[in-house]
Amino acid sequence: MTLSRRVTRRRVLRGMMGGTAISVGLPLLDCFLNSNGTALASGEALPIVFGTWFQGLGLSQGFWEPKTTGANYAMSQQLAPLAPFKDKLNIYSGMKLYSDGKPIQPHATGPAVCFLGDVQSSPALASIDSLVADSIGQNTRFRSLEVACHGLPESLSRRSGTVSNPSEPSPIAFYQRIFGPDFTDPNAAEFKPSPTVMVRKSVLSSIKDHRLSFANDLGASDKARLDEYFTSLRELESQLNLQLQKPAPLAACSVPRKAEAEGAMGSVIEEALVNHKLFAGLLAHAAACGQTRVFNLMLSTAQSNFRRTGSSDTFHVLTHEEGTDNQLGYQPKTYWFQSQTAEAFAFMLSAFDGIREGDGTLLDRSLIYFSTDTGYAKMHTVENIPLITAGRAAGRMKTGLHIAATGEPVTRLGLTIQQAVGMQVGRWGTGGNETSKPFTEVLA
Amino acid sequence: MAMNWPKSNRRGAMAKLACGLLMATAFGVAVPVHAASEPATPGAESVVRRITPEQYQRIIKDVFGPTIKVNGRFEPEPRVDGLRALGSSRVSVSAAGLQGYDAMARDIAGQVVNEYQRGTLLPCVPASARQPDDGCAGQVLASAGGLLYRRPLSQGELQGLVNDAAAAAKELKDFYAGLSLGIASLLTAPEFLFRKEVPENLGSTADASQISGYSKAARLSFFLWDSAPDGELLRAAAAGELDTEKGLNRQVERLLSSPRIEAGVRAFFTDMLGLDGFDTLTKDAVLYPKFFADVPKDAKEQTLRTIVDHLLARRGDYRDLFTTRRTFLTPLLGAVYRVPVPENAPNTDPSRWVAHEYPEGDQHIGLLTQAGFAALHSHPGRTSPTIRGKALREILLCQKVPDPPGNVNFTVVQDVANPVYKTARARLNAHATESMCTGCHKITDPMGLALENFDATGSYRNRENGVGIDTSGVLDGVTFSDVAGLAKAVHDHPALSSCLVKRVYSYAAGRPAAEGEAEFVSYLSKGFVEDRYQLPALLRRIATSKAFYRVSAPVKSAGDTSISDRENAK
Amino acid sequence: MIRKPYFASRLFKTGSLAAGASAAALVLLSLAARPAVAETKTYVVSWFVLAAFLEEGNCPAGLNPDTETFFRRDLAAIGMAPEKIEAVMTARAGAIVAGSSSAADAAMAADALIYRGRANGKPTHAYNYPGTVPDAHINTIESKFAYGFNLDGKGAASPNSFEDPVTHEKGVNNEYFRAVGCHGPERPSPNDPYQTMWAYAWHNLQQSLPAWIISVTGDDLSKDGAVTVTFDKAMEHVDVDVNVKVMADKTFRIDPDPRWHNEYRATLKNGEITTNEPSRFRMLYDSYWVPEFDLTRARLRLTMKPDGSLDGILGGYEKWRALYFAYASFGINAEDQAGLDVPGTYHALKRLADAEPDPKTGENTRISAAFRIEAVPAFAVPLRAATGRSPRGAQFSQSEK
Repeated sequence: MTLSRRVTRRRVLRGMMGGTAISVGLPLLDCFLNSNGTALASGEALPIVFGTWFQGLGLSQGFWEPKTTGANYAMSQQLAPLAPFKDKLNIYSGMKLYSDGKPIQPHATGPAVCFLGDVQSSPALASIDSLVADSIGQNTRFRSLEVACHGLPESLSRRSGTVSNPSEPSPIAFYQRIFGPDFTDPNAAEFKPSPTVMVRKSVLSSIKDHRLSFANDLGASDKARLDEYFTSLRELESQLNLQLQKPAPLAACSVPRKAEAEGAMGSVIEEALVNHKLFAGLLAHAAACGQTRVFNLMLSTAQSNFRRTGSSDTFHVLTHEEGTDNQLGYQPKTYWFQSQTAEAFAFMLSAFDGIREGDGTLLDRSLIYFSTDTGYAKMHTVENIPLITAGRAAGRMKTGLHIAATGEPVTRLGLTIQQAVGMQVGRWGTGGNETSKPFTEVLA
Repeated sequence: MAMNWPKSNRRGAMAKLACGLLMATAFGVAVPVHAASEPATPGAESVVRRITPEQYQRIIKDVFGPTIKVNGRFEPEPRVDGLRALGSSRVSVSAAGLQGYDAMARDIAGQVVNEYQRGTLLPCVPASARQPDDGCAGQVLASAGGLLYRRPLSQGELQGLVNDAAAAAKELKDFYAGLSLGIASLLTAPEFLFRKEVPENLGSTADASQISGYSKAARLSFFLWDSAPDGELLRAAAAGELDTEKGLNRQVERLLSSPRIEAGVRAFFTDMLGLDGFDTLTKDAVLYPKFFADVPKDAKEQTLRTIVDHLLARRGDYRDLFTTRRTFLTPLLGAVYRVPVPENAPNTDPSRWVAHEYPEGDQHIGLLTQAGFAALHSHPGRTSPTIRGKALREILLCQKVPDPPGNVNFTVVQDVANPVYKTARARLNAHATESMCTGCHKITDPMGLALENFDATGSYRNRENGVGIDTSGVLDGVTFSDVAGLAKAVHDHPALSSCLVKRVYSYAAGRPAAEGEAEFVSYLSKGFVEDRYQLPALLRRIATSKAFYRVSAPVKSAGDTSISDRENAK
Repeated sequence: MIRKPYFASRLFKTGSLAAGASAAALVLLSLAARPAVAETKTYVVSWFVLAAFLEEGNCPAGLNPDTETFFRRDLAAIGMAPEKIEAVMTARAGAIVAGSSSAADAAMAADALIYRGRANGKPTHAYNYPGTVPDAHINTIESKFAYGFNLDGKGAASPNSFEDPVTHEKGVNNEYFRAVGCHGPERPSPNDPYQTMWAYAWHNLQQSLPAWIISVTGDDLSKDGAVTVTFDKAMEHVDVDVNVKVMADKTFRIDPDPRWHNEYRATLKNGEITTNEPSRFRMLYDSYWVPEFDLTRARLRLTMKPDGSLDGILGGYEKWRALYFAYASFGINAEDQAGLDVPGTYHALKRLADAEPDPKTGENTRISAAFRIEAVPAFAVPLRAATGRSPRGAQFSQSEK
């Protein structure tokens, strides 16, 4: 430890002198400053990137929720670090999970419903990121990428109860995995079109002419309606055509400088936050380079065992034992840990928002799902679980909203996310957490 | 959710349906079913309808079986003249919508051919799973295609699909991958997604004509079952049986006596009563902590169960729906209504419905006092006599209530904590003294106020802010002092049954009744009275009429060229 | 005990919502057939916790120390060498925090702490054999006030007795509160009276516990007079509303198993119900926390509140080992994560137990205690009338000791 001390002024300057978009956008990620000069992206529609961002023990109830709902709310006290990104994110308050008569095990039940939509972590179920990856992650080098800042290989991402996707706890090793010898620059890669898309395209073309006769004997207004259908059919065809061509170069892709130092693996929060910064930058670069479209980041485990340097009081023990300060209205030490969460998440967003792509940023085409295990950490309740989505999902999400959904199951957000990334899903969750109601107000 | 009708009842129903005269005499009133002969109509232009999300899901289950899941998001239909069914005659498919249909189609086709299902779902096994097999592919595509297109595929259509499946199977070295593309292709076809009706003998003249047998079959089954025709109905269409009175009657009786009629009746009333509003209905969590999660779903289901039980299982008088004391409840609804409803199934069992009958004199009476009406037509945090009155008039009586002017001061009405105006009646009185509001509120409020005993979730109360609630009111000249009086006034209102007739006919036809059909609609209304306001009789009268299948020539715009002409000219 | 119908619509008297075809109608009819017209109100318990009275300074020796301190204290007490204690505590710090201790070190620390009892010089399990951990004499309540009842009948003359802060009854016996009241996690704060371990347990268990049904029957519950109070176990769990409060007005089926039927003669005066004489209280609870409550010489007082709910205190003598195992079943987690000194609690409960001495050893087997109860209106119907099925409760009858 620690990274920051090793970063020299010379390195910072060199990065800035490179004049790249990245160096401006990622002022804190000095070690990843690009040494290449990169052109801006051409502005073509880039695909959605989906990520989860998890931290145990939530936020401080009463201090993270904005006071008003809808648009133009004032950022809450604890989420003040997110203020610069207010227009690019949504905050969801009041949501809960339903235990369906099963005892609540706060640290397991919360993530189980946020990620699986199921209180019991039924073995057959895949996590939400896996469902999304099935839909959008098939044609990238990595179906999904999992990282953890808590030093362990644990992750909440899984294909099923028996196949989980392990996290990489080391940023240095993670760098090697993405940008090591196996990395090929997407801007120069060979391209081989997918045979499945080829046959879909050929089937579509062969039936199109035949279908046109359907409207022949209709009246004028019906014919106009069918005309719209055929226009849509042609759009679908041209989309498939696009998929058969070599993709547009990813102008915003650049290879970050190799990480040389990282925080100590473990539960000291200061070290974990160093690694979080490294991971945030690496994930942003990996997404910008088209290496993956799905990622999972865990800042801490559920039931966070973070502690501060030199203290043996863990965050979790504090939530149970620390008294509530009567003046402040919260548990001061617990509040501190929870505020670090807000800071860290803000950093994550700055990493994604710092990569410019044409008129927008990587964050604009991303959708980052912030979830946690408890609502009121002191009581370990599973009501009013803080949830956030950041990014506009390539225009599919409306942002800048605080949505108060008191008593609604958290699965509504999971369903909304799946629909926002374009999945054909009508309902999600099991038992009392099953829902068919996405937040239509945020779906564009 | 199929209702469990007693066997004897069902058999009885069939026997009654088989002979209208018998049914009438069972009540001791000998009324011939067709008292007057059907008036002539000029027909109206046939409209192309996009199948609804519910129909799409039902057809997939009918054709491919209940194990297939339909995952996807549908584009909504607008509500036109009180019905989403008429909205389906206005919509097309957007680019995003088609992408959705395409993804859904590939997902469904993938499930059909998936290695765990193909053995049971497909009628044949290919010679090799890695190569095309036109015989097997043709068999699957012809049978699925016939049900999805609601007519047999032409030789050219089938050959094209088989060729595409074969080419894809060859390229991907996978018979099933090729076949699934063929099935997906059927599911995105306009022939499946749109209901187009083909006139039987529309030559060069623009005279009215009957629609073809297959088009008749589709009209019938979408009307009565909210789904595509089954094999038997398509067979009857192919054999020309639907063009004869006897053949048509036989099929109509078959459809009416099938348990699937329940799906059709639910679809109609969901549409007419706007019960889809429950999918997005929310209430203030602080004021109404019980009205969340499954309760809105249960409230919708309560109303539908009451309707199905009364109109189908009991062959009840439609008007009695507004005065009946019979209903069905779940334990959660019991908590909202404060009525004891014991569990009759283990915890977390979703189907916990209990038949319930309120005693004489109870304030719970008819559909208006159910959450299905009272909660649906309220604000999230308070009741609205105005909204309820408007809904009553527009939905049940087919009357139009003008929208409020744009610049109204609603402060008094909305302030439920107002220290002076403690009840909704007092607040509305204060508000309606503004002269420009008085007129409209006179139309809606007097009947809405009679429902004030039911709060914004349908829970009974007799005081608001500590002040007793006055439920007296008037509906079109009939005065009453409480909700039972309102229920009776609605029951006896002449517009109640004629409104239903109008709605059912336009729902069935996919368009409002045409000008030339006024006499026919009034014939239906008279018939409904003669049929003792029994819904199945009304459905039968429409389904067996000539007018229902009569269309006029489409109106083409000047200089119209077909789309394919334009495409081919490119 | 007399068996009266202990179920009824609480709205029986108004009759406006009486059921027609539903099973509840049978109940109403059977009640209506009784010669004397009685009124019954039924409730479901919506809150059940240790009745802890909050008071500054009632732990004169201070609150009990934090986890690390009592671990070190216990290890020193069994004669562990200081270097070894240091090694254990370092490894523990690394074990509860990921990655900084090797697996072997973490296991060593866990073993040292879990097996910190000593019998004949050999390590013993500290939660299964807490008596083998030296008694650290944890801090206990020293105050005039505690909720509860004069259970032993000795009144103010009773040694170590309290005064109830609400009723001002003297000679209140509540040694359970004395034993655990100086644990930080058992002390409610003025901000948040519901933040104790018992509240935590209730909050997380309520939807999986059998619901408890209370009925109050009297000639006219708006007037003072004799009433009958019953407690029964329902076949269902409670449901919670959108605000996570137990949902009112739900219907529950009563378990006919006589073991969970409790019936008391009581007196209603000014809206306060007080039982006439000590009795027994038995009720199924949670297998993990306290499997079953079995209070002897139980006393009860309940307030009928204007909003229709009940609020009160249940007191009696409970087997102290049953209360001990509520903590012990959490084992190292109770100590490490929640800061509760488990063997220390054991010694305190054993020392303060104040009733029913074992005839052989002379050791008291029960401890006086008081619990806070709240309940909201609910409907109750007998199981058989509700379902027509034979009672499920019968299957338990073999397992009774």
